[in-house]
Amino acid sequence: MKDYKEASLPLDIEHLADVSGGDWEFECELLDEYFTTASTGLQSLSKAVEEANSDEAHRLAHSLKGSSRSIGAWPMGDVCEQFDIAARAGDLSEAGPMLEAIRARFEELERFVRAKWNNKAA
Amino acid sequence: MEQQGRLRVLIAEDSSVSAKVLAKAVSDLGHVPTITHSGEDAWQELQAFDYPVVLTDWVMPGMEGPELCSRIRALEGRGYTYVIMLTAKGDREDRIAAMTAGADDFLCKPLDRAELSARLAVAQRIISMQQRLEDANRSLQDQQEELKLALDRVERSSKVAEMSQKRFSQLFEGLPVPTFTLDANLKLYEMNKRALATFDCAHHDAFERSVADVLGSDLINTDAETALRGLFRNEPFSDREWFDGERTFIASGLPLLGPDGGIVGGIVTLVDVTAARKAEQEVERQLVEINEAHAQLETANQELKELNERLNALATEDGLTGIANHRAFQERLNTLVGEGKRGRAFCLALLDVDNFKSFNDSFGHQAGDEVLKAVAACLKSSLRETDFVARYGGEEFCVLLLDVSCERAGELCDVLRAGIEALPNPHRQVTASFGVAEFGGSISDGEALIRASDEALYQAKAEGRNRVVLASRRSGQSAA
Repeated sequence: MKDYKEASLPLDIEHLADVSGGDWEFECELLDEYFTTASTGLQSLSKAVEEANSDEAHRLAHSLKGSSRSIGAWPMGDVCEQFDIAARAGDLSEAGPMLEAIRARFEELERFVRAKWNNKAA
Repeated sequence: MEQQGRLRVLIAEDSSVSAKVLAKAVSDLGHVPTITHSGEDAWQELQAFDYPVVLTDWVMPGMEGPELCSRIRALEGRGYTYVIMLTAKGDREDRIAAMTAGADDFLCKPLDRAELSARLAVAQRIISMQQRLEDANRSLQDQQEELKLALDRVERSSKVAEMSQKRFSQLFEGLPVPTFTLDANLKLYEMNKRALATFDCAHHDAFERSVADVLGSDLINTDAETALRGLFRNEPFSDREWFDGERTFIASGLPLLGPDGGIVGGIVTLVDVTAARKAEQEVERQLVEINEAHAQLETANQELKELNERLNALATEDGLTGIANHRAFQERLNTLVGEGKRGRAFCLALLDVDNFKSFNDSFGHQAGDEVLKAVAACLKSSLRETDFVARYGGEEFCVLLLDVSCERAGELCDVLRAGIEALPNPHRQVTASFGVAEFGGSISDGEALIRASDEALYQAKAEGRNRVVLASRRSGQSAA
């Protein structure tokens, strides 16, 4: 098991390659799927926080955490987990800053992937 | 159910990314993934199709992993479903809860392909074992069914066999004649009670010993052995007479057939006819005796007949003179009277030896008897075959003269009278007087005829003796 807490890169490329079975096209497909669902998920999460719906926030954060870790986006996964734990406990007091942190990790990941995949594609 | 090594894997994962990752890994491992995004969807899919492996996420909106797992376990009437729970949770309590709900294995998130491969290999092993177990179970059930049927058949057959054996035993033991069974080597197999008693031996003595040893080589001689061997060529025999030096048996034998129709043995009955043979001999001996007795009886009968004839003669003959006696005369007279009534002519002459009393007195009775004998002989010899002479009593004689008239009878009597007169006699001359009467007219029965003759005789005596007087005329012819 990878110790993803040590990871510093937004995306563990080795993990992604591993879960894709070295299938580059699948990696692309998977990343597309990730970004599509994660964007939607993030919007929904913001809305849940606005509505102070901790249950919904917990569910969304949990799902986002799972998807992120599935592709090897450990930093993104970690911040989602922190949110998840708090939301599960019904604590949305730190939701604003946490959501900001999630967005920051997500944008970071997006940039990283675009750079990498544009390179790769090139 | 599956192609060799390919498992149909149902994935229940709310995160589409995670689901994709799982599906890709499952597919790359050579299996066939189907993705559902919630517990409810997975449950619907499972109800419609049979999946040997379910990979389910733990936390999902709506129905969560453990609940899905419980529902799968409650499903019946299908192959085993191997459930792998996906979890990031390392908690011991959670794992126990999942196990209790019926999960077979766990897979940690994020996905490690090697781990998935290993888990699916285990799943495959378990499923194929389960499959084999079910097949084996079915085959075992089939075999048990077959075994049960076979057992039933065996039980029925053995019951039938037992009954047959019992019936044979009862018949065999119950036979009222000595009976034994034997094999092709002429070894005894069984002897019934009668046979054991007859040949004075016990079961264990007889079993598998040669027939000749047990029953004796006198009885089971070469001929008997040939007959016994014939049974095993399907040649029954009957009514053979076997003799052991003391007893005579009537032997009959039949081949015993096995279930396949082959000859498995022979059964032989021996009927002791010694007593019957003895009785036959006795009967023969008695028949000889009866024949002898019969012959003796014949002889005795012959003798008796002769004696009877003699007695009869004695009854009708005069003892002294040997001519007919008075009784015979009466019988003859009666017969003639019957004939005379139908028209036959006959005459009766009575004659009396003259002065016989004085002859007796002078010369003794013996001399008198001689005279009577001589007169009788003279009368007999002088008369015709058809005439009848008898001693009437004392010195009186009577003569029945047939088919003659009174005159002719008188002539014949005169010849007789002359004959008597001419008899040689050492003492003195003997003469006789005759009275003759003819049957017919007023003389219509024997009594009347005798009376008429007697009267004529009386007249002859009165007229001087030695003469013949005819009753009808009352006139006598004196001696010449």
